[in-house]
Amino acid sequence: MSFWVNVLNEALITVIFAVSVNVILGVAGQLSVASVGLGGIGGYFAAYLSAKHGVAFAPALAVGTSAAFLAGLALGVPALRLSQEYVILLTLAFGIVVTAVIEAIPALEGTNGLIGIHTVSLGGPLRTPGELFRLVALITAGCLLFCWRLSSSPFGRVLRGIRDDSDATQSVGKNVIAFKILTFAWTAAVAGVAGVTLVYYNEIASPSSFNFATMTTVVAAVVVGGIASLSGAFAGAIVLTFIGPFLEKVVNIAPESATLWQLVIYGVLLVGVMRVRPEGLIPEGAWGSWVSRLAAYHHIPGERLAVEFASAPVTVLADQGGSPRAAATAADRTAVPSVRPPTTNSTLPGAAAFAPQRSERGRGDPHGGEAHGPGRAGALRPEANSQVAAVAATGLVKHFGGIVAVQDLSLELATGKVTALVGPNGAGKTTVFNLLTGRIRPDAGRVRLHGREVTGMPPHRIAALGMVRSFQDVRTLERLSLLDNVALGVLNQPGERMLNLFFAPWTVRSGERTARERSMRCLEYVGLAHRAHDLAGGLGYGDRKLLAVARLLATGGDVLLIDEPAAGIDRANLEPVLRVVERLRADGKTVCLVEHNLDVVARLSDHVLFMEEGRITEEGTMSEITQDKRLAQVYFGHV
Amino acid sequence: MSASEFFQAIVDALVLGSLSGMLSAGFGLILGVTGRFHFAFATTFACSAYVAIALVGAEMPLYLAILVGVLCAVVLGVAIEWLFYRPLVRKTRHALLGVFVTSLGIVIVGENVIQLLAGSSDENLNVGYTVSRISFGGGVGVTTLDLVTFGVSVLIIAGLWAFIRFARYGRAIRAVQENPSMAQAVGINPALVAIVVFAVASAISGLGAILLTQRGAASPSAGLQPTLTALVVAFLAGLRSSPLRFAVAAVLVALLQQLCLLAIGAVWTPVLTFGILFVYIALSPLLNMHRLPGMPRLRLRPAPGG
Repeated sequence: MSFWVNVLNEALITVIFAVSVNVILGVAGQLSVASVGLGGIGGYFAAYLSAKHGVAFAPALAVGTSAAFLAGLALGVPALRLSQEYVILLTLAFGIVVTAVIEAIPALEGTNGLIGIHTVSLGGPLRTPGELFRLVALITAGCLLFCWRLSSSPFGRVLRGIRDDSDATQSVGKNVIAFKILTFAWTAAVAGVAGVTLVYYNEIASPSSFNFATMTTVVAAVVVGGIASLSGAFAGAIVLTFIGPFLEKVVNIAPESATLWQLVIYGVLLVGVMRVRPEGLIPEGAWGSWVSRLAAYHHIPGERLAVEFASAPVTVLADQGGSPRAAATAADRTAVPSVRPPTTNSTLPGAAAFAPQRSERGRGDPHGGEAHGPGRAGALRPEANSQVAAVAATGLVKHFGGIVAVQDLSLELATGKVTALVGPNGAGKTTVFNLLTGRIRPDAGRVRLHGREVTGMPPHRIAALGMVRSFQDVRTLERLSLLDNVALGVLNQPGERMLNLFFAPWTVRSGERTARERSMRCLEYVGLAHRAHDLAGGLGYGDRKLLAVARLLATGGDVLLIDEPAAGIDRANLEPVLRVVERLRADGKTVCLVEHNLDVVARLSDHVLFMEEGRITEEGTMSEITQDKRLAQVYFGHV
Repeated sequence: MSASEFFQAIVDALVLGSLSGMLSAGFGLILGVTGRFHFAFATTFACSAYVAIALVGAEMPLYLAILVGVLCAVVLGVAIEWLFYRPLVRKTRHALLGVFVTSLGIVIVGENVIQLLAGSSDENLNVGYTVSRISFGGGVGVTTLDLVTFGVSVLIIAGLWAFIRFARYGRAIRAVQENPSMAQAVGINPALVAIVVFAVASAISGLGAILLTQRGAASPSAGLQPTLTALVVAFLAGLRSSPLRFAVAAVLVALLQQLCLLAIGAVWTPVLTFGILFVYIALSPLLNMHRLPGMPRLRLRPAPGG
């Protein structure tokens, strides 16, 4: 009996390592294989304190975990700017260096291992596997819960966004760097907990517990179980750990060869799973998808959407407050609009339709603990004066090596108007978008958004201030549902802050409900609400463009830069996209299009900027531009 | 450290560095041309050594046994590429992790299958000639085995260099290395090039295994350390550089290792080796090193259809 309990304990410790790898590798998509090495750091810190200084378990665990956390932080910083192939190498080298250093330091007893670790006391000393099981199970449950919370929350949604398209995620206002570093550090802390538990369980800290082979085992567990699903990592770790003992006791293979056979099976499983079913036995979202589907349909009755959407904010919220599900939080919901009247929209012509986000912005935290949003909503708005340019760029210059992409370019985007940026290929139109949204820094010149200087700000801050852009190659996240794609765009979600996840779950819940409702409205706006729970990968190209627009809307940004809305779509699918842009204009958004299809430009734009060789050489209405013989020649190359 | 120790360290570094340079050139060829992290290089390595040992045990003449061992490594390496890596890369968009994990899996399987078949004890392979020591005076010298190791390694490195430079398939390899799409456009089949690359590199791993086993002994996991060192060398040299540069980088690394061994002790040499790699990669974005020819961006997408 104690044999199997022992195996179970070992399996649970492997589970801790596996969920740590699962979050960093499967959810956040950072190809880090450092977990076991980080566990070694944590384990050895705790073992040393216990064996040499008689420190008790709890403080040793705290120190070990903190050490791993800091090491993870230190590892995350260089990993930030590396491409994934180098992240693998960096973390691989890290793991090898850790074991090598451990073996090299005399005080840590080298390959013999550090012994003399004190027995844990938890209402009496825990000596047998059975007694230790309680402790191990408790710690494992804690780590599982922590990782589950991280990956299934809005925080996890951002991580998935980073995994699938880091640039797109940043472009809708997420501080990608902070998320990555936090994830590196906290998964390292979880690995540290695993390391500490392991050394206490074995009563010895040995380099072989934390070497390359152990890492392979953990990676095998995660990959076989399902790389992006927590339940997969759990199942994988349990099953793989039990293979050896099963062979030994049930199939009756000698213990030495049982271990070897176990490893052979690991390897075969790894290779086989990769060959046959790369997403693992339990793929991402296998459990969650239908559960969340049910939940979502309950929260947002479809037939109401149209009503909510067309109403003014106060009505919308009152309407929701009336539904039984939302009754519990009705106080939060209705309170906010009363303190924040629907300010801006009524001043803009025809702006009522897409109103909700204005009032929601301040509602992320109904308890008012964090001051997100409000500063912006008040001061920065164009408000009554629609003559003021929403965006003004002056003297922008950008060189790429010897190539001048943008040369002394100045432009203004009039508030509430559609401005089109046209010009031949290579004129620098997309570069202008990149410069305006902070994706690349200008060599000279300034960008102002609602009169505020945004030059040199990172994309996520500019997005948070209200200017967002779509990409020429749409960049929707194929492995996420439409709803999650759009919800990623909602700014300042309480569930994206780790503290809230663990200390203010109610805030997270209401914030998530708000975000999902709002995302549904954005999907409704572009006409995709009926497919909200499908994966974005299944959409046609035209629908993806619509989805990208919905994602922009979810940010609540009022300046939308849309890169080639019509490119690559056939005529039949073009109409919905054009209608959405027209509707955006009617709702008072400031829109800038890059577009090659001049029919589209003529239909949508109020003002046209003609760009060639990095400058704007002409501007005016579409008819003025098309009548200019020289421009036609530049554009078409003949006439 | 005395003067004779120092000079002996330099001599040893030349011998071991040339061997490691040869292995790195093989490993780096795969990484540079196909973008695959082929850790199963360690498996083809061990395969060659154990096949040769087993055949010598079965009374086969030594050189024939070595030849068969190396051929087995070639067959295994090509089979891994053909059966596992290539289908994986064709199927998934982000094959980096897939190839990495698959190669790890193959390493585990290989290591433990060998252990199940041959046991975990070290196995020796005889040399086939009497090893004598040639002294340079002052306590510095080499053995004939050292000379053979050095000679074979230099020959292979030079041969690989000439192959890539002058042979028809070598030029095709270089073309794929530079620009796979362009290479395909001018009629080079990247799949075939990958097979050639795996065959050549696996042969090199097999030969290296024989030389290393003759110097010491083979164990089921003997291939891992040389493979990881080859990884370090390949990155320090720059992935798409010529075999000659790999050789120079390998000798430098070996020299550092030998000096570290003398000055601080054997336990610190892996810290130094992998510490260098770690620091190098960690600092590369800060120093913008990836813009230099030494740090190219890896290509992980195969050429279309490749």
